[in-house]
Amino acid sequence: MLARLACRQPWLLIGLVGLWVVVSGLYGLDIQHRLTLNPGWDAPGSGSELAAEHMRADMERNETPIVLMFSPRPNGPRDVDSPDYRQAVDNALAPLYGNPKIGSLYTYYTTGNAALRSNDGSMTYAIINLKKGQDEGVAAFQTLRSSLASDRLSLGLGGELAVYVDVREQLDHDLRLAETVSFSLLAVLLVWVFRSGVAAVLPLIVGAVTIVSSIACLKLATLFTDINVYAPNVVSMLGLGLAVDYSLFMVSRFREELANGQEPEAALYTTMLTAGRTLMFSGVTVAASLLCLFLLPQRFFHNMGLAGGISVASAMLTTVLLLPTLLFLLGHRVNRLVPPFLVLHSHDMSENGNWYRFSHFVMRHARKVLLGSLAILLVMGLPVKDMKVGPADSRSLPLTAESRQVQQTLEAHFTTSEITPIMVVVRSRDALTTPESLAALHRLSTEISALPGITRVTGLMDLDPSFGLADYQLLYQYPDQFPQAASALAEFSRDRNTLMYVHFKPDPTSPEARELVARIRALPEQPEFQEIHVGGFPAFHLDYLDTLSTHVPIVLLAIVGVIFVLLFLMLGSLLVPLKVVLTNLLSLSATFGALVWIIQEGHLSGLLGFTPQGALDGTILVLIFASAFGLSIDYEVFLLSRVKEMCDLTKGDSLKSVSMGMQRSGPIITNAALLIGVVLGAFAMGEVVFIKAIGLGLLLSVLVDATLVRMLLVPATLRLLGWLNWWAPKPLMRVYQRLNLGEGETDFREKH
Amino acid sequence: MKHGLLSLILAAVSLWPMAGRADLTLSGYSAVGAFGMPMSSQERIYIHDNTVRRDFVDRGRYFSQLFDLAKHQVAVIDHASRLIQIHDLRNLQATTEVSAPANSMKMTMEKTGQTRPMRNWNCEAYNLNASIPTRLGNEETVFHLKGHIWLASDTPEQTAVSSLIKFTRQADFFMGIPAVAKVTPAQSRLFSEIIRKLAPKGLPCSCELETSYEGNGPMANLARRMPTRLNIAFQDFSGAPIKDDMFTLPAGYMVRQ
Repeated sequence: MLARLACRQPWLLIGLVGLWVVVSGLYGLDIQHRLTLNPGWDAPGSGSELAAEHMRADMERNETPIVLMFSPRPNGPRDVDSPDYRQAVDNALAPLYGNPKIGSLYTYYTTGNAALRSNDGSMTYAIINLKKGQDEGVAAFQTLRSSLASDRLSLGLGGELAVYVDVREQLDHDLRLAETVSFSLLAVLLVWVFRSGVAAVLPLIVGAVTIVSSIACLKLATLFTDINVYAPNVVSMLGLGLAVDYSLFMVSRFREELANGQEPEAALYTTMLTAGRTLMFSGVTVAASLLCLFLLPQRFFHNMGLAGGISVASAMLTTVLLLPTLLFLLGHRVNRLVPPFLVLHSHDMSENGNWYRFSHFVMRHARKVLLGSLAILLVMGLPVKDMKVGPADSRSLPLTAESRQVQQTLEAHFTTSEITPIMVVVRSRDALTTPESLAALHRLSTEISALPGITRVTGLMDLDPSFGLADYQLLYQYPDQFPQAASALAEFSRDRNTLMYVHFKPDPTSPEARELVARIRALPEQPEFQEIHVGGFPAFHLDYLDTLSTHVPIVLLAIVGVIFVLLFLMLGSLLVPLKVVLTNLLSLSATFGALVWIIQEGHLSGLLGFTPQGALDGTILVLIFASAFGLSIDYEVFLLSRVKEMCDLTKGDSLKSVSMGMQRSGPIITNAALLIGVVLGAFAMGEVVFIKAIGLGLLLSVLVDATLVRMLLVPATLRLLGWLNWWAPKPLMRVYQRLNLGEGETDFREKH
Repeated sequence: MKHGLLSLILAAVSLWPMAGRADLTLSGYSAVGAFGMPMSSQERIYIHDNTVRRDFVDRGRYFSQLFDLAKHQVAVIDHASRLIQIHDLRNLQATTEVSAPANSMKMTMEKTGQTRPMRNWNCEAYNLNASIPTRLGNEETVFHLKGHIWLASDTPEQTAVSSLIKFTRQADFFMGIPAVAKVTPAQSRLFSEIIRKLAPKGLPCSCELETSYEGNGPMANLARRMPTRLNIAFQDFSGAPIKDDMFTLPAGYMVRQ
C-alpha cells in the first residue's frame, strides 16, 4: 500500500513530508526550554525518595548545596586564618548576600567549622545552600556563578548541581561536535558504500528528517509528562543510527532489484514487500525492547524508553514513507554520481561472491567455528564478573572542568566532606517537643552516633555533648525562654517533623557509606515515630542499586520475551528466536566485559582520554542493553529474513539458503555496522564519560555483533541446527501461517 | 535570636559617640557563640545625625536595621526577601518596662588599665558587670552580662557625632530589636540601659561579653550550662560623609508596619 501511494502520489507525499519537516522543525526549535531535570534516577517509594519528598512537602526544604572553593592566587593571601584572607573571602561573597535565591551560606569564618579549612591551611570553602533544586536551582546557580569574582583568590564552584551544569555544558559541546563529525564522515562513507553520490544522500535525508521529527514529538510529549534533558541526546544518537541502517537496507534492496532488471515501480514494490516489511518488523522489535524500560521504576528510564521509542518510530516511518517516494522519483538515477575511483568496484551477488564462499567455509567447519567464536565471546565477557555498578560523579568530567577540580581538591586537601551527609527525616506521632517524642529522638541519635564510621550527628538532640535527655526535654519545653532552643527548632524542625544530618568518615560513594545507610534503616522501630526515612546521597545510591538489582532481571526477561515472540511471528521458528536471544546475550556480555576492562578498570584510558571510573554507571548499562539488543536484533532480522527468503526459494536447502542469505545481507550488515559505528564512534569522542561509555559500548556491541556473531556464530549454528532451524509445533505454525507476517509470499514448509 | 542579642550590643556601641554632628562608619566582625559553635558575621555601623544603620550578614542573608531615634522607629530590612518591617520603639519600651523596670537594673563599669590601638585610636578596656531580674519559665532568676568593653575616648570622630547623645537623656529612650524585646524583654531592657550609660564615655573598638543566669531552679541551671558569648571587633572606622540613601528605606521593598 505504501509502495502504491509512493508511486501514485509522490509529489503529494514529498510536499506533506516537507511541510511536516518545516512545522516540526520550527516547533522543536526551543525544546531545551521545555526539558527538565525532574524525571531523575530516584526510585519512587524508596527511602531516599520519601525522605526527599518529606523534606520538600513537610519541611519546605529543597536546598541544593553548592561548594565555593577559595584557594590562593600568586598575589593573594595564603593563610586562611589571616584577616587578609578573611577579608578577601568576604569581598568575594559580598555580591551573594542580597541574592534571594540563596537560603543560607556558611563559611569557615562564620561557623568556625574546621572541616571547611584545608589541612595545610591555604584553602577554605563556603557552602551555599540554594533555596531551590532541580531546574530552578540551575538558573540560580548560573546567576550566582556570574556574580562571583576575586582578584586575590581563585574561586571554584563544585557540588552535585555544579557537576550537572558542567556536564550539560560539556555535553552540548560534545554533541554538536559528534553530530558534525558523524554527519561529515557518514556522507563520505555512504558514497563509498553505495558507490553513488545520489544514493548516499538518501540516508542523510532520512536521518535529518528522523531527528527533526523525533525532537518535535519529544517536545509534544512534554505537554503530557516531564521530559529529561538527556532525552534529545538519545533521540539524536539512536535516530540517526537507525535511520541510516534502515535506509541502507532499503536502498540496497531497491538497487538490487533494479540490477536484476526490474522497472523502478516493480523494484519498489518488491523492496517494500521484502526490505520494507523486514525493517518495519525490526523497528517494532527495537521499539518494543526499548519500551521495556518502562518496567523500571525510575522515571529517567521511562523517559529514555519513550525517547528511544520515538526515535525508532520516526526512523521507521520516515524510511517507509519518505524513502520509497524518493526512490520512485529517482528511479535509475539513484545510481548516478559515481566517483571515478569507485567505478570499477561492484558488489558480487552471485554464488561466487566472497560472502558466499566465506559462509560456505564457516558451515563446513561449523563445530570448530562455533566453539572458537564462543570461546572469544566468553573471554571478552570474563571481566563482567568484576563489574561494579554506581552512579556517575564528577569523574565523568574532563580534568579541566571546574566542578571536577573542586571535587578533587575536596578529596585531597580536606579531612571530611560536609556536603553529602546522610539525612534522617522523622515525623513524630505527637508534638515533637513532648518528653516521649524527644526521648525517642534521643535514642535514635545515640544509636546512630554509636555506629562505626559516624563522625557526628547534628539535630535537635545533638546541640551539646554534655546534655542528657532531661536537659533537652527541659530546653524544648521552653523555646520562648531559651533562644538556643528556638534557634535549633527553627533549623531542624517544622511541626511534627525533624531532620538529622549524619556525617561520616567513608567516601560517600563507597560500599561502607551505603552500609551505614542500611544499618541506620535497620535500627529498631520506635512507636513514637509515625514515619522515618533515610535520605541523602549514600541512601539514594543504595536505593538506586537495590532497584536495579530487583527490576533489571524483569526488564531483561521482558525484552527477551518480546523479541522471542516477535521473531517467531516473523520467522515461524521456535529455535531460531531462542538462538538469537542467546547469541545476543553472549554478544552483550562481551560488550559489557570490554566496558568493564576499559571504563571501569581504565585500560586504554590514556588513549581515549578519560579517568578510570572504578565503576560503571547502571544507567549506561541499561541504556546500552536496550539499544544494543535492539540493534543486534536489527541485524539478525536483516540476515534471517534473507536466509528465510532463500530457504523459500531453494525449498529448504539449508547450506545454500544460508550462504545466499549471507551473500546478500552480509555486505549490508557490515556496511550498516560500519556506518552506525561511525555515528557511535563520534559520540565516543566526547569528553563526558557518560556519553563516551554509551558511544563506546554501542560501538563495541555493533562491531562484535557484525563480526563474531553475524559472520561466524550465526551461520555455524544455522548449519548445525539444520532442519530444526525452521521447526515449530504445529499449533504455533498454524498461528504463524495465519498471521503471515514474514517477508515471503510463500513458505517452503507449506509444501512439506 | 542570637543575632537579636548581638543587635542590641551593636546598637549600644553605635550610640556611644555622641559629641558632634557628622558621620561615622565602623566596620568589623561580630560573633555570637553558643554550644561552642560561633556564628560570625561581617558588621558595618553607619551613623548620621539622629539615624543609625547596622548592616550584617546572617548565614549568607543580608539584613539592615535602620534606627531613626527622632521618630522612635526601627526598620528591620531583609534584603534577600526585599521585606521591611517597621516597629515603634516607644511601644517596645513600654512592653519591656512592664516585666523589667529600668530601676531594677544594676551595672558597674571599671577601667582595667589595659589598652590597645585601632589605627589612631587608643582603646581602653572596661570591665562591665550588669544584671537585671527576670523570669525563666516559672523561676525567678537574674540575667547577667559580664565582660570587657574597649572604648576610645578623646578622638576627633567622637565630637563629630554628638547630636545623637541628646536622645539617650530622654526618659522614654529605648533602643532594641523587636524580636528580642518581645521574647526576652529583660535582656532587651538591660542592653538599652547599657547604651544609655555608656554613650558619653567614648567610641567602641570591641567587646567580649558573656551572658548567664543566676538562680537555683532547673531552668537557671540549664541556662548556666549554655552561656552565650557575644564578641565584636571593629577593624576600621571612617569619618567620611555617608550617602543619604543609606538612611532611607530602599525602594521596591514590601513594607509591613
